[in-house]
Amino acid sequence: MHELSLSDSLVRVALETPGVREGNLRALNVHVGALSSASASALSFCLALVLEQRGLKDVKVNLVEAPARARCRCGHDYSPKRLWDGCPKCGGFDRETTDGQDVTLDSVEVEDGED
Amino acid sequence: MAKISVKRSAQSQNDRIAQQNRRLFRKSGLFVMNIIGSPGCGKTSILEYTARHCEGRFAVIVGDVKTALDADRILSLDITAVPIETGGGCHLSAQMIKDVLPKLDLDSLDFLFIENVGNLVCPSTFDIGEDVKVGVLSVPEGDEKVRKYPALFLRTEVVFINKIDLLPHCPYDIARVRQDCRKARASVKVFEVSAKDGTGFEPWLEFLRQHRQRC
Repeated sequence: MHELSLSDSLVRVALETPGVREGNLRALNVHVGALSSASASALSFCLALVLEQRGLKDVKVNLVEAPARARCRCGHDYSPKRLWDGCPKCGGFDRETTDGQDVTLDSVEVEDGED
Repeated sequence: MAKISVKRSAQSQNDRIAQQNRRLFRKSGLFVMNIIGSPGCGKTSILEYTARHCEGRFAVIVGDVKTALDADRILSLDITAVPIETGGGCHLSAQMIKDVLPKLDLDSLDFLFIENVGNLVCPSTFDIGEDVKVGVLSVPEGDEKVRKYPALFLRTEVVFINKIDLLPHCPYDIARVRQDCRKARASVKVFEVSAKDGTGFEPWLEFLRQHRQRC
């Protein structure tokens, strides 16, 4: 259940962002990497819990699954759907993953005009 | 409504603290291992055997959900052991490690073993500042663990297959496990051991000797 730690961290990251305050935060746009080992439904549950505990229960959460990108040692670029998906060309797992490994706070939405 | 771009990983705070820990470890010339495996796979038993036979000076940080029982086992061997009781938390974080480091004299050590909470999922994605992740498997758990928990085994530089004394009693294809470990990570070192009777530990002790010389 590491999604609770991730959720806590996402909310902290949001509130550390310049221009964001508890009073103007309206939505979190979160990308869940295909290889992140995090469950989107567990994240959704935990984010709601963390936001409620901080008195931010009206903040909306938008979760989007982010595809992974990887380059195999054989040079082939591919998009693994799961961690145990080897390179479709050579079958290997020795790869450099460039996208889709993390849970990322892509952006936040804030109310205009408040100060 | 205005949109503000952030593009920061949920792990970014943990990763920043893990890097601080790593810098401290490097400064002290320490080789740090993050030991990850299921509850009951033998993580503490492997450390007990290592404590009795390793030539280097080391300390252990032991993470457990409840109790300091595992840390007490290490302490009884006159090895410094610092318990971290996570109180329900499923993994150790970089901050938890940072918080207990003042209890250790890092400059007096060659190795630091960090025994993570018994869990094959959550600890694998949290960097705590280690040099290597060590995955621990055991024969009674079955031979499909590497495929079932790739998040860990794609990141482990060292894998133990423990309890090999039980091979005659369990259906376990050890060649397949070895092959899966290498498929996940071609450079992995696999040690097949029995912490109960000490079988198979010499290559592990040699691995530690080599890393001690490098530090």
